[in-house]
Amino acid sequence: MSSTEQKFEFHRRLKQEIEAWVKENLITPGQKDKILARYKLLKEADEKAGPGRLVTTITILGSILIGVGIILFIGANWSEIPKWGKLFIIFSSMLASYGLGFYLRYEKENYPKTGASLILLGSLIFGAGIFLIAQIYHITAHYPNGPLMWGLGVLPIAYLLRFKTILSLAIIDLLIWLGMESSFRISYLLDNFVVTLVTLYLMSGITLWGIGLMHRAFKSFRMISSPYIIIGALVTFSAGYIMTFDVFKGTIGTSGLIMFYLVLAGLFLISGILYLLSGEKENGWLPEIISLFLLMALSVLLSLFYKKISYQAYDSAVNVITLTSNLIFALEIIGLISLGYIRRNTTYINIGLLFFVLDVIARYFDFFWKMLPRSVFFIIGGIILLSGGVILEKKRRRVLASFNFEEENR
Amino acid sequence: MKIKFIIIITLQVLLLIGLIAYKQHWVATGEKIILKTIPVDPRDIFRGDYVHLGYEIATLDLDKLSVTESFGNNEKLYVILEKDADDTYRAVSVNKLPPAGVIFIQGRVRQVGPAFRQLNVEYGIESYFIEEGKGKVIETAQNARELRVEVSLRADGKGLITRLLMDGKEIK
Repeated sequence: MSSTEQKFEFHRRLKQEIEAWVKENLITPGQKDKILARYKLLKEADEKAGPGRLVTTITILGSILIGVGIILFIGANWSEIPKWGKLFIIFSSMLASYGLGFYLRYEKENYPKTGASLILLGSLIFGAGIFLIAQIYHITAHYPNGPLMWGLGVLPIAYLLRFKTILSLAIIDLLIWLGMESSFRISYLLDNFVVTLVTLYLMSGITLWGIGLMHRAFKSFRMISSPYIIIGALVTFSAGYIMTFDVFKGTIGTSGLIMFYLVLAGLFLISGILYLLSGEKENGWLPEIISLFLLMALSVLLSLFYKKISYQAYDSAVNVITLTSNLIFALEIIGLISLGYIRRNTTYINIGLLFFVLDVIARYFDFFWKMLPRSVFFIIGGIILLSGGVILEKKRRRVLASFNFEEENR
Repeated sequence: MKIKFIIIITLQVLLLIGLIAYKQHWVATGEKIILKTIPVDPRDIFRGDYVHLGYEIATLDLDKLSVTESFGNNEKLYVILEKDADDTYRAVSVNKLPPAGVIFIQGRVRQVGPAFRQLNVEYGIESYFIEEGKGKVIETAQNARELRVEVSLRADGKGLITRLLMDGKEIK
């Protein structure tokens, strides 16, 4: 981290801390303003030169473009470039961007953000290399080992350098692998493909969330806890959202995925225990971890033991499952938004509100599509959404403003 | 940290090299067989930069092969192969476990046909990656029944495409 960046970071933290100092009567409000004014110049510089996040975004986009460019170049000249030539391009560009990135960020220290993005580029080219080798040997397009090796291969870098971008890349790779690998093991004939897959993703979302909480509780890992929590929450809620529709077709899990269920549940339990043993926890941690545990237990137990229902019991069972899913989903949303309020966590609030809106839209369609004439349906729907948007935006702005400081974990 | 970083990057490089070495070993030591291709639905043949290859051995009639067992979707199976007069291989039987002393290829049931007696099998050798635009030539050859695929078989029956042959000549 460069010295200017460290100063900005310090300024942000100072603003958070100083409120507490005033509250505890350590300093007077007047002193607070004086102290803050001393660092105001730095803030202005930050605003003029564009916020650090913008630089990060631009350089990350640059890395992705170069990565895609290299892949396209090889693809377009497939038969002209000999095998070793393709591999040479991959190896040399991967090592070059890793090396240059490390040099800029940690040795010379003058372009830390660009350096970080170059290291991300190296990780992207590493993945491209895996798929290129698979292509050279004509391995079928369906290749779950590819994302698996990619994800596991870049994970150590994410931990060593504490990179949220590379960690997110690794998590997404592993989630893709999970979907590809498990779809091999779900029988299209005997199982309910959608529900089985969605339940599996629900479990993996909860597991990621739990791993994230565990990371948050330990100081040395706190910096990289947010990819786990954000991706985990998004996956959990997306899966829960799908379950609120009429997707249930008589079965939930499949025996082909028992290993996946057990490993995910095991990972979640280990993270949960480590989290419980750790010293520092945030407000509302107990309801959060208990809800996650109950949701995990419910999904695992249903996936393992839910017996295929008979044809006669079909309709009522479908109703029970769909209704329960809807109820649980609504509770999840309320829980997440409340947690966001208690903890002043904007990420939780935003995710909660997003799925709240999606849920309202879906239920509106479910209930009123058949009952109202189409024109009235659309007009009323539009009015509800618009006024809902106004209310939500107002509310959201007020809540975020009341937090009055930037969340460290975003 | 620098040392650790270098170690991780070296491991990544080694993983890629290992992957190449493994496939190369497979190509070099595997049992080479030639398979006949069959025309596939033209709308599906050429997607982007790879050719979809259909094989005669991809459709198995369990009754014709006098196999009594039945297979489910997604189930792993071993197809026993025998050489024909034209040097290509055809399916003669199907096993649930790897057989001994015969040539076989490992596959997975994609679809089960009428009365559970017809199987659509995937072998992991259905894609051939090629430069964009070249797929049409191969597509035509395949549909004119002139296309042969050379496959290298690992000891457990997993196949890997090594060459594409049109009228006995290799396509590059």
